[in-house]
Amino acid sequence: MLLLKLIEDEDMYGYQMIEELAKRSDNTFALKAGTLYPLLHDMQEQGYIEAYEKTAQSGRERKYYSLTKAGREALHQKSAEWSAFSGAVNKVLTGATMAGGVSLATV
Amino acid sequence: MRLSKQEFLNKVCGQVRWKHAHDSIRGELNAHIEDQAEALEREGRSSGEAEAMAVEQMGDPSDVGMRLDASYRPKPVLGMLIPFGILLLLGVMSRVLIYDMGADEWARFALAAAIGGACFMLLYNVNLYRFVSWSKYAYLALAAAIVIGALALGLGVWINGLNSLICHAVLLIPLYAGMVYAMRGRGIWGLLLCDVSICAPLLLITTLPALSIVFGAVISGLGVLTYAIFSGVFGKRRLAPLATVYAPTVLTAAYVVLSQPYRLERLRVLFDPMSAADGAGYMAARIRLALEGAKLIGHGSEVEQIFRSLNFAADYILTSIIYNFGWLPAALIAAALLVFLVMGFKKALRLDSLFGRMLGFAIMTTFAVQTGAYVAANLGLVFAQTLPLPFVAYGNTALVLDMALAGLLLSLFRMDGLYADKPAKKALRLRLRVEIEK
Repeated sequence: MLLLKLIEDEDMYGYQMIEELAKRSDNTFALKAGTLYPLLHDMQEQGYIEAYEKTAQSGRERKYYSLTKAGREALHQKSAEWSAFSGAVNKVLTGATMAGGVSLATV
Repeated sequence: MRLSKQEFLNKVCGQVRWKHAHDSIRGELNAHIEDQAEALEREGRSSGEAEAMAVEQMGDPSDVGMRLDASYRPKPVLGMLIPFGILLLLGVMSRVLIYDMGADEWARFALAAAIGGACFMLLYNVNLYRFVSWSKYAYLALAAAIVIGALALGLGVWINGLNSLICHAVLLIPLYAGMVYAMRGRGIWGLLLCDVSICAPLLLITTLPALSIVFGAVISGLGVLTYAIFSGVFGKRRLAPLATVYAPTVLTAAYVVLSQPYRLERLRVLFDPMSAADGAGYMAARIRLALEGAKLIGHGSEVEQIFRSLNFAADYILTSIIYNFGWLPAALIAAALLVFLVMGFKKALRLDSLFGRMLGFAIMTTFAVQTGAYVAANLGLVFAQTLPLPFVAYGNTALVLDMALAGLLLSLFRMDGLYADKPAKKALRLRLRVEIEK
């Protein structure tokens, strides 16, 4: 979900994603290249992202990733799931009653 | 022990079993290490130290390789192999049931099937995406080889006024798609070049007796070009590029037809065969008569004896099946063909890269045009020399070529995801420099 969010507004290449993720999370998420690239390839296979090559100003060719329509939908769905989940956890931590009687098992 | 960049990449790729994925993985990880090293150099490290640190930060190469190995696998293509297999089986069955083939013909068919199988396996295992930049040259070379070989050198076998070399024109279509892809971003000049490449073979009709094949190739080529325009290959505009493509092609086709009165007559008969039932429309008229006597299941009433002729059966296998076994078995074959075409187009248009989609679309269009022309002729709707029914009917050369195309198509499907579209070349512009003397 975090990777999809990163490229929601701007196409990025692998190294840029790692840097951006670290920056946006105050270095909480330090993704390794060995984890990132298999994930990117899997998401490409699932049709969430697509890749194209672009020559940077330095003359180096980089593989950029962009979000597809299916990827955008998946991002919205996962964001909604995360909001529900984190909201429920917060309610438990703050001692509030869970609305609608949702049990922890379903979360 | 610190690893060099090359050692790290070799160790990673050593863990990835799918060899075709190595180039893609190597390229991306190499770029990542270079980016990381550049950032470290900006922090004040020396070049060598920065690279060594960047490699170290990539993690354990065996671990990275194993993760990539789990992710990079050829895409399954079993779903497409099944319809191919069914169609091939139908071809063999039709030869057994309908053709009166002798031992020599069976031996030639077996040889063609073996060569076709070898071509299929060879192309199935080749990563076509590595040859993207070669496709336009391959197109021009093959087109030149066919024309020069058939016309100037007298190569190929002439059967019923048709040179067997011209049959290879079906291979031109996927290569043509590669040429159109290479013209991305080249604007109107690129489009015109693609258009000339379609019109040129059309004009060759005037010297080569290959009306059906050349028209089939031109229609397939137009399909590829239309798809390219709608995919944004020549920019965001649609109407002007379409007019640029269709106007000269239609005018060229009109010139080719109108320049000889007999072609105009053939065109008229093509759509109204009954008006010349004893002349150019003879076969179509016979087919219609025979189909009138066909039953839902079982042998049709004895209105025609013509199905006993081997050539007739080979060119009109669907008509023969309808007449000899009924409409239902023929409908099952038509359904198998339809499933194959729908599945193929669907899969081709879902490929990741534009190159893959264009090539896949071109191959499927070739099969679709062949099938459409064959079915129409077999139902007596139009009459022209038939194109081969993919994998099922018509000649050993066609079988080899169709199997080669099938190998190409499945290779595209399997290797999808390894190739990322490269940036388009800049538009060609004619620059006019005017110097004014002061």
